[in-house]
Parts: sequence; structure tokens; C-alpha cells
Amino acid sequence: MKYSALNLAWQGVRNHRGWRRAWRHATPKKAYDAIIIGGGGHGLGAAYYLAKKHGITNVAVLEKGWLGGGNTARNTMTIRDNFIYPDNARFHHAAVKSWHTLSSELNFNMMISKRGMTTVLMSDRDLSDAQRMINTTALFGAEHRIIDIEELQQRLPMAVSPARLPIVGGVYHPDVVMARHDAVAWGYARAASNLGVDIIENCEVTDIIRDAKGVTGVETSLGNILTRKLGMAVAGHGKHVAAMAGVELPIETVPLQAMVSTPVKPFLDNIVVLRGFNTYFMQSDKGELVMGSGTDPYPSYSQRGAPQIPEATIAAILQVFPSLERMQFMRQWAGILDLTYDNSPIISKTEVDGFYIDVAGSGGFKTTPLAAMMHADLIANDRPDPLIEAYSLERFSTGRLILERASYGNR
Amino acid sequence: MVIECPHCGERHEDEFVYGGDVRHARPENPDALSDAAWRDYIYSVPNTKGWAKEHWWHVRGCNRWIVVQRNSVNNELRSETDENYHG
Ligand SMILES: Cc1cc2nc3c(=O)[nH]c(=O)nc-3n(C[C@H](O)[C@H](O)[C@H](O)COP(=O)(O)OP(=O)(O)OC[C@H]3O[C@@H](n4cnc5c(N)ncnc54)[C@H](O)[C@@H]3O)c2cc1C
Ligand SMILES: [Zn+2]
Repeated sequence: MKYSALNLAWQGVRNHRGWRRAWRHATPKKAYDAIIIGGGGHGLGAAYYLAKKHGITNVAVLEKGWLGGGNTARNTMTIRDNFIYPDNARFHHAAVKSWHTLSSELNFNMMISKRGMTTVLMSDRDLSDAQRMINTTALFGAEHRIIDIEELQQRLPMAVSPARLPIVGGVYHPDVVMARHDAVAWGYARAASNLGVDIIENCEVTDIIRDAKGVTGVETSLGNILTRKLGMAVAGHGKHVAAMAGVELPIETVPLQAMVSTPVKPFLDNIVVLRGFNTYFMQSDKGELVMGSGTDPYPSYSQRGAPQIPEATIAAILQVFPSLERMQFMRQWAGILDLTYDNSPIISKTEVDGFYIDVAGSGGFKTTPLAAMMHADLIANDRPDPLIEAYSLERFSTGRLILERASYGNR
Repeated sequence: MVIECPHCGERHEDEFVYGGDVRHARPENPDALSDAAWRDYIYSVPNTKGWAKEHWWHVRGCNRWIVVQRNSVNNELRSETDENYHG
């Protein structure tokens, strides 16, 4: 069933009784040509591209909970392009572009909201770092510019006067967009399901079965399922799922938190990054302030997060925007990230034949369409596209890391 | 999280800095190590899901390194002995 204005009107006349499930309910078959573990944006996207671009439609996505209930549902939806290492800059520039046509391709409204991002700089060092970032990212097509205090005040009318904080200027990054995170999971699920992919929820992979030639299948809470090609996109659980195949991943699991206020009238269109405080916030389309900062100071699997992080985040925002003092806090949560030592993703083959991985690194919502496309291509052709060669697992033994640790903006 | 320092008693986690898992020692003979073994030593943190022994530095307290047992699933703590790490 196509989603369109006409159909909406027609369903309206029929009291909305005619809408069908967005994706088929599926029970596992005995065997598939390919299986993807993890029903977040990355996993569902990979299944969709396997079917769409590579004609491999006998595919299943296995999700232990519900679709998009992992980090896909927990992130702050910022899609930015400010990475400074060449491999990352190239990849992320292409990743940001890959969102432009997604709604029409999937016939699902991603609610892309073009916001722009304004970074507040508070030292000369911030300023020279920003200039360096602008120069390097420009080589790959990203657009940023330094703005002076006057323009900064125009963009962020409620910010404190620079007389009270050592604000030296800002960076404006016009191409930053937000997209509706749930729509990404649902849109890919619906489109993949229409192409014949089985989407199986409440199905946890508990072991990976191998023979001398490589992967032969998976053990799941719904029984064993055979396959020779297995893709893994299980953000936060990568280390454990890969270990089932005997693959050791250099990953640490660290919570990242976000929080929202109650909704208020629109006053802020830009996404604001407070560089010196390692904090960012924005106003959602619903009017809530969505706030976040760095990862927790120690690894953990608890999806709660350390309490000092929200405190520091709010304290930082109030220093720059004191008039937000009366805002009411509504909710706080954490998602767990698989962090690599260099904070860059791993999209790679492994030493086990037929076992492929896409672990998103620190901020992988923005890369969802491109990473999923590349993962599918890797599974179908058993070799990496040049765009992801640098993201191989081997880089940890060869030492060719992409040290984006200080990835310029937030998330 | 409230961490029990063997020297100072129960203190808020904010006084401490996480210092990583208590894990394998530095390789005896680094020159003889393969790339893969180096990778495992440097990058492959155990990333335990469950109880693990960890180093914590009581930097805003007595300034000593202590060993703590923490369950990474729910951040529950068990006190451990100080293994004579002096800051
Ligand atoms: C608070 C927060 C803010 C963020 N903000 C941003 C941002 O602004 N911009 C940005 O680009 N990125 C951001 N990110 C990062 C982004 O959310 C993730 O990188 C991205 O969503 C990962 O998508 P995914 O599909 O790989 O993982 P997920 O959506 O987590 O999907 C993985 C799925 O695998 C399933 N799974 C795990 N183990 C198994 C198993 N054994 N068997 C079956 N299924 C299993 C899980 O249940 C889960 O549904 C943020 C993250 C957090 C936590
Ligand atoms: Zn102490």
C-alpha cells in the first residue's frame, strides 16, 4: 500500500479502517541466503539494500526485542558533517547526502528538518581548531563558516551576553538536518518486507554456528536457522555477538545519555553546540529541548547513565542560556554505544568467512543509510567498497587508526 | 554510584576516575609479539558484561588507586581490598 496524500484522504473517508500493517509478521524459515542480526536502522537498512540493490531477497532480520528499540530509538537525531580525518570526512559527507532522497525512496516520511548547527566557541584555541576543521572538511565538500559575535547573537537570541562568558564567536554549519529516528526503522522495515525480507522480532541470537568453511547458521530463541552469510548490526552488544563467532572485537561498551524538557513554544531553530562544555541541545519539532553531552566516564551496560552527566549538561546550558532556568525536565535515558579505540566505525569482513559486521562507532545515526548500503554491498560481494576500506577490523593490528577521537562536534 | 574507598569510606563516584579493568600484565617480551597479540593487548579490553575487577583512582579524595568490583549490567558494587596502589 502506497502512502500518499490521495490515499490519506481516501482512508480518511473510510474512517482510517483500511490501513494495513507496515510490515508482514514473519516466522523463521529453516534457511536464508543471508541473515542480519539486529533490527535497528543499520540492520534493517542492510536487509533492504540486499534485496533492493543486490537482488538477494531470501533474507531475515533477527531482532531480540522490538524494531528500533535500541539506539535507533534513543539518539538525538543529529545528522552532521564535521569530521576531519580524510576517510571519515569522505564517508560522512556521503552519509549526510544519502538522507536527501530517503523519504521518497522508501515512501516513508523521514521528517527531515533542516536546522543548521551553531557552535559556540569560547577560546582562541576553539577558534583555531574550528578553522582547521573548516579547512579540512571543505576539501570533501562540507560547508561551515566562522561567524562573529553579532551573528551568533542573531542566531541564538536567548544566549547570554558575551560580556559574561569568554565567547569569541561561532561556527555555522548549514547542512545539519534532523530526521525522525523511528521512521528510519519503520521505513526500512516496511520497504524490506515488501521486497520479501522476513522481519522477525523477539528472536535473540544466542550462538553462531560454524564449520571449517565459515558461518553455517545461528542459534536463536526461536530455534536454529541456517545461512552462509551473516551480517551483524547490534550496536552496544557487538563484542558479545561477535565472540559467538570466535571474533574478538576491540570494543568498549559505554553509555551515552540524552534528556528532554517539557515542550515550550518554538524559540530556537538551530542545533546548538557549546564547544567548551562538550554539550549540545536543540528544540524538537514538538517544542521540547533535547539535550546531550559526552559519554559516561566509565563503561557500563546499564541503560541508565551516571547522574553527574545530566547535572553537568544542564549546568552548562544554563550558563549560556540563563533564561532557560525555569524549564522543566521531563525524561532522561541512556543508550549503550560500542566504542572503538579511535571512535570510528567498523564495517568489515572478519576472519570467519561469511561473517560481516557493522558497528557504528560513536555517532552512527547519521550514517545509517550509507553504512547499511555498504554493509549490504560487503555481504553481497564479499569485498569492501573503497569508501569503507579504512573501516576494516584489520586497522587495529596494522595500526592504521582513524583517530577521530576528538570528533569535532557532538554526536 | 557510591564507591567504598578502603581509606575514606563511602564516597560519591564523582570523586573517582575510572582506571580500566584489572587485566593481563604488559607482555614480557614485546619485541617477540605478533601484530595480533599487540592488538589484543592494547585494544581488546575485556568489556565484561557482569562482575569485573576494576582500578579506580580516588583523585578527589585520598588520591590512591583502589580496586573495586563492579557489575557492569546494573552498576552494583562490592568492596574490595586495596591492592597497595599508592598514588
Ligand atoms: C543518547 C544518544 C544520542 C545519540 N545521538 C546521535 C546523534 O545525534 N547523531 C548520530 O548520528 N548518532 C547518535 N547516536 C548514535 C546512534 O544512536 C547509533 O549509532 C545508531 O542508532 C546505531 O544504530 P544501529 O541500528 O546500529 O543500532 P540499534 O538501533 O541499537 O540496533 C541494534 C539492535 O540489535 C539488537 N540486538 C542486540 N543483540 C542482539 C541479539 N543477540 N540478537 C538479536 N538482536 C540483537 C538490539 O535489540 C537492537 O535493537 C546517539 C546515541 C545515543 C545513545
Ligand atoms: Zn580514598
